[in-house]
Amino acid sequence: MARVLVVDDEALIAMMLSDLLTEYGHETVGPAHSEAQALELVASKAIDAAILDVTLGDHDCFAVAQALGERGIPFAFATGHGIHAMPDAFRERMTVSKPFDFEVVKQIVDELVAPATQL
Amino acid sequence: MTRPEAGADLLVVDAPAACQADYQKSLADVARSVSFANSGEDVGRVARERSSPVVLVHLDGPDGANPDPARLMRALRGLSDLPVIFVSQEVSQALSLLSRHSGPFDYLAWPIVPELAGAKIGTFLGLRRAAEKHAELERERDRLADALESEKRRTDTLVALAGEHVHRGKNLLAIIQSISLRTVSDGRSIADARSALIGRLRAIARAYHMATATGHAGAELHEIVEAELGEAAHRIVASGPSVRLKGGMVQTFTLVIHELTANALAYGALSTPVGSVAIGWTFFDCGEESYLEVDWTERNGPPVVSPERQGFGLSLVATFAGTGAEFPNVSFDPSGFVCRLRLSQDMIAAD
Repeated sequence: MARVLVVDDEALIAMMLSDLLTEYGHETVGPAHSEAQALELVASKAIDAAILDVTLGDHDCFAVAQALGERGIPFAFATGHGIHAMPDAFRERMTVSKPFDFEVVKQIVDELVAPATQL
Repeated sequence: MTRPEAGADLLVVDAPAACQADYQKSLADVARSVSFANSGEDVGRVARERSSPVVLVHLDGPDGANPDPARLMRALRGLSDLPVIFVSQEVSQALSLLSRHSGPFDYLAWPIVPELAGAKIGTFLGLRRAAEKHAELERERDRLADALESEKRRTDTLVALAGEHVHRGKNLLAIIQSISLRTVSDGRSIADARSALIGRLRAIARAYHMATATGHAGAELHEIVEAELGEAAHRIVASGPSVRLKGGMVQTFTLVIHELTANALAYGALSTPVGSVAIGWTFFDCGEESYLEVDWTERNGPPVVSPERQGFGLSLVATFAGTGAEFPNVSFDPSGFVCRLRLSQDMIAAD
């Protein structure tokens, strides 16, 4: 079991991700619906992996991505935008498109939590 | 020879009175009018006022003597960049003065040969027309550049808007995905799930309409509440200040109110004839932050029973406006179900 941070400003989408994580046998951290909330959770909670919605209200999630990267926490983006909207620094990261293909979500979650579950 | 320009008004500077009739006659074919000025006047101003395409400067004095250099220089200063034709009996004298003028220049021998004058003046008229055409083309180019620029900005805006719509569409599909997933996995019968799903999609559609009607500028909280209460409206007292939720929040908030109303009608206070609901909202400060607190309070309903599992509505309430462990969102108080939502400032549209 891994602890996965979910960041999405849409409660319904965060709920769905949380449900899926439960189904896969993991625990949801958050969900955070704003950049500030997410940063607070990254700083204060034990997190093994994260799924970030790219657009958070008027903000984007790249400050959160940066903070996760600095801590070496693996993460993937969830987005309704194309991959071309990504800054260069994050273009190599895994991305799951909205609406979700649950198979893809499962694969990405498996890959993200692999290091944590091997311990 | 044909007239280069019917409208050309020529100015002749320093023509002695005795020569003026000859000027009128020799220039009759190329000029609509010929007027005379003295270099003692401000000949530059006179030439510009009459918009002479070229100014003829007569160099010889009344008795055929050489021109007064000081007088000539004053005239040339005034004419500055205007085209000038020097006229003299002594062609060499005219030629020696050409370089003293800073604008375009030429010369004519006196007495003037009309055909030659016509050709030379025609050249200057052609030059002026070319310059005018050039200026006109430059204006046209600038106008087109401006039009292109504004068209480009318009296109950029439309492309961004189209991208935004695609994004919203995908988000909406993900929301519907989430609702469907939860509705069919809540352990209900197909008939129940069908009716719950239809109700939820209807609420989402209403919210989408409300959010888009203002161009995604959000919706008034009391409008959302009134739209969602529907048939139960007369048994629900809603009160609170005017506040506008951000566009992105409208759908979820609408669905929260939809779930609370549906639950109250099915199991809560509105399932009995005497029960009632009050929904009120108010701003309050917590530390440095200000929140909007929305309270849903049920009274006079059947005995309140805590549900065995957290269904869709409760999950949504917890995820949408989680107030933290120290402030539980919902209370299954025996006197009536209570739900408290705490909306942060970033969910509220600025006025």
